[in-house]
Amino acid sequence: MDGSPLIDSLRKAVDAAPQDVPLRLHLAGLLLDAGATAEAISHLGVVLAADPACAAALELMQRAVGGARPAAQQPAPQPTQQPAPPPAVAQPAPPAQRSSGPDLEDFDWDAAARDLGDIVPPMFLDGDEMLTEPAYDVEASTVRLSDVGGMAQVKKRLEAAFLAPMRNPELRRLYGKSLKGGLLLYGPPGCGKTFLARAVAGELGAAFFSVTLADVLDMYIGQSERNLSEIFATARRNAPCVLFLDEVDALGQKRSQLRSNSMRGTVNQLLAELDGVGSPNDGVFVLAATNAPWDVDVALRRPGRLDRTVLVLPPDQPAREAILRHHLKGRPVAKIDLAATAKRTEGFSGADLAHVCETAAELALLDSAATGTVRMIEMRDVEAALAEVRPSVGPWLESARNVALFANEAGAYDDLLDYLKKRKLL
Amino acid sequence: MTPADARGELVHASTLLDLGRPQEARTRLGAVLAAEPGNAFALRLLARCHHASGDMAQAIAAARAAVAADPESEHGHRILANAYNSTGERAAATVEAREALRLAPDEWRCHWLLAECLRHSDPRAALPPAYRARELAPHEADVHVLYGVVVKQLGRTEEARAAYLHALSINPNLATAHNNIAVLDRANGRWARALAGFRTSLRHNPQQKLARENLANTLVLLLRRLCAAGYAAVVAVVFAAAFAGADLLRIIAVALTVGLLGGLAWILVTVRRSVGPYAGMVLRTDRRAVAALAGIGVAVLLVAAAGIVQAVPRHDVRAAVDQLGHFGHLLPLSAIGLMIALRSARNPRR
Repeated sequence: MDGSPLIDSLRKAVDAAPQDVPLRLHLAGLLLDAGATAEAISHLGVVLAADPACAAALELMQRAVGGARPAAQQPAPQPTQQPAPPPAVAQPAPPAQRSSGPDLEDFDWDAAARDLGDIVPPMFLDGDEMLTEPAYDVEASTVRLSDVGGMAQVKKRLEAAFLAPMRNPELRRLYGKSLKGGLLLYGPPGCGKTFLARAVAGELGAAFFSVTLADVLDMYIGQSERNLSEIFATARRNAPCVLFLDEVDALGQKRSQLRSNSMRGTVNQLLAELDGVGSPNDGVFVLAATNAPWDVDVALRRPGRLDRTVLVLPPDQPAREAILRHHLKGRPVAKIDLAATAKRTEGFSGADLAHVCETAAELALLDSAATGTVRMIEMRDVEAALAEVRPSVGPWLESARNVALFANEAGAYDDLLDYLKKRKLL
Repeated sequence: MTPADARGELVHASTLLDLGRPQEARTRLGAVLAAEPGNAFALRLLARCHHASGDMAQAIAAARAAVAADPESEHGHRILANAYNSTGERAAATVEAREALRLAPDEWRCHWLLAECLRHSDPRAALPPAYRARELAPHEADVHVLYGVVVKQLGRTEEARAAYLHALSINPNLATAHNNIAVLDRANGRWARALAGFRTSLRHNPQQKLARENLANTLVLLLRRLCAAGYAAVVAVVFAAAFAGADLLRIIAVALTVGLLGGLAWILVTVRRSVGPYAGMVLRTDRRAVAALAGIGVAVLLVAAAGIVQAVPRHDVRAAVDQLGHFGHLLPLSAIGLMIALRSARNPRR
């Protein structure tokens, strides 16, 4: 050890000639004899890194990890230099057997693996074996586009931009249509962007993997990027898969607007993952949704990334009817004029319509409680609810109007402009 | 909640605030403050969240609590000053900004904030801190914009323009700088450039209310000036009717009518080209614009009528107008119209 002039000289010699394997092995042997197991292992590690089949190094390593020398042969260790005792779980053998020498066959490797399995990761993964259970939930989507009420325009756009090329590989090859790139759904909140994404996954028969800011954001530097990388890796493992990035304006906000460097790194990572820089995104269909596409970094909307956009507007009349029917389905209703209600709820989002149904049910419940007679939800309750609930998309339309008027570069928001003109909001 | 958990929540909250999600950030801060009500960092973040949500009363309350929890933090005083400034309480804002500056005399943000608080009441006093902020942080576009605003208030418009251009050289997307340069262009009568400047400013930040208002004001100002020109034309025609012969009067009236209509066409085309569909929106919805358009219409009709009167045979319309004393009765009316139009066609102060 430190006090041994021979070991000190050998250390200097190894430092001077780090490639000299026999010298290093000799030093490792002496260190083992002196009880400096940790230092010996580090030297053996260097040798094995260069030559994993080196028999002498392997033999010494076995001695080192086995705790190997009989106590009688070990020199009295200095208190400060004593190597750390092996953990209790690594000593299942009875003391009588241990005292007989470094017999590795007696060591219960399976028990040690069971005990340490959670702490020490395996060295290698074979095939599709996974380190741990997946950290993110990938679900099968059972919703189809036919389950989405109304929204004929949106469905048509989805079909043209996304679904038709996916379903017709021959035609796709004939026309040289690339599958690279994703789809950005944008529109006011509560209008069914997430539901549409699920429906697209259902149409494709692909798994659905939804990701929000909370799944990515982490307090430690670099961890958010790592989370994002792991999310894409999970999606690739589960291909074919629709990877749905919800609120992508948060995950991929314009870097010029960001103060923190950590979020800039996250945006850069997202760009790299969308490009499939590390590994190709074959079978991973990226859909993203946002209420504020104008806050999304322009780099994310370049060709090959989220290059196709679909405006998801407040539901049209058939869609409103379908949504109202859905929300009233499980409740005791009588003589509800769905067509009339749908006509009076122009500009309401899906969430607003759900709120109308909820309010109508609440009014009927209160009345039943007050009169002591249980009654059905009637049209008068719906009308009273309509008087209470106001459409919530107003602030969004205000922001959208400013963008459509002043920042509609290259016609990116022409469909929004058309909608605003149609509703006489311009 | 362990200290590590609290730190994690604070980092999350700070990132959420940076991402423009103050409400979500507030939820996270609520958990931290429930465990540590006197956490000054959390209180400062909370004040910023309220400020970002536009809830100034809550922002002031949270900033006050942050200052009480950590009176030696310049950041707390700065946040409080900012909140006061946003509510228009300039005196209180100035006191807090001075305290922040006392605690951190080399922090450019403190100088910037003091200049921002002072410039409303005393631009001369705001100049030294604005200058110092620029010295301390020459790479920050905002300090150049503020310096430009202060020197413009002092009448040094060319220096202001240079400061705004410097800010744009650092951040070409800075909407405020584009807007302020457009204001200078408007004051110099470069209407098309001013309109394009406001438009550029709005392209970089479509939600910017000030540039939208400036755009509408510029359009209204142009129409009012044309309206004033229209009434001046009416006065000119009325005077000419007294002295000029029939042919000359007709030529003058036709020329003025064509000039007024040409001016209106130029305004509409320029505005449409610079501002796009927003021009139509202003013309339809802004009462001042509608009134100015109506005034222009009346002036054009009066001038054109003079031309038409000269064109028709003397025995009908001309005879009727002759009874008015060769437009003599129109003179006071058109003079009043001209005065009103001139008064409303002055450059806006802001």
